[in-house]
Amino acid sequence: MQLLIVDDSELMRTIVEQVIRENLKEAADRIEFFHAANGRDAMEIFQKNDIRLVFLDWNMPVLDGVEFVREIRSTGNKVPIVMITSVTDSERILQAAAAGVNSYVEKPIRGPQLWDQIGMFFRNAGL
Amino acid sequence: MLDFEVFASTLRNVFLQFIGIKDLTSENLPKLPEKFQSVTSRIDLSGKSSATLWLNISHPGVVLAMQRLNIPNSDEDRMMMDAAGELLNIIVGAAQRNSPVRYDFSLPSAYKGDSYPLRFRETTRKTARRFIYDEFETILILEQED
Repeated sequence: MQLLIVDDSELMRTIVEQVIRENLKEAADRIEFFHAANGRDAMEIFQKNDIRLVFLDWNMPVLDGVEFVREIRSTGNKVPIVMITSVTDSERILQAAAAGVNSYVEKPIRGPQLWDQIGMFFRNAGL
Repeated sequence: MLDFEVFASTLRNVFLQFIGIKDLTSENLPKLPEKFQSVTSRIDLSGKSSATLWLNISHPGVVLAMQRLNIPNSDEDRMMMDAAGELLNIIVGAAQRNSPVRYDFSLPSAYKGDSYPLRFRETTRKTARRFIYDEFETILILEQED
């Protein structure tokens, strides 16, 4: 399974991958992790690989998270997209949902709380 | 006007939830330091009020934060600046919910050095508070037009 983590913060990308590895244990070896620091790089990775799950920040340079989601959905792709972001403004959250985000996780969150919110995507994928 | 207390209380909450640091003591800073140490991040806020929020974190503070997050290479400049920027980004985002004044915010930028001045606008009001926990020390500054 190929998984893409998109965040302009290397710290956050590391934390998300850590949480997944800690919770999936040896099953994490069946995941190939891709990282991108903005939506444009993420799009390039997405188009060249068979990404089955995306974790995505909103505020990023070059191409932001919602623009990335709109581009993906415009092709008819239904890959699950989890937005992990510091944006808490309700109007903007609705924008993300309308764009096609499947799940929305607010920062600060890590460890067990983060897994509570994202674990089902791995269970659905049989991991 | 943006309420400094919204950001100060959010900082406490973010440091507790994200890094596990509680029992931060604090003191208001009536006068800003002339020189700053270690890492400083800033985010511009826009909307009905325009302002800038600054977060200065001592070197042991950033290292402690990243150790608690199990981040490797925690002493590298790049990671320290990333951590300071992301912490402020999370504070600004989480405070959005509790702020009576709606605002948008920029991407964070970060600086690192041994002793450097920060360039504030002369006409702005600055509200600042220092938070301390053991060797962890951070200064939060809200700069906004009167």
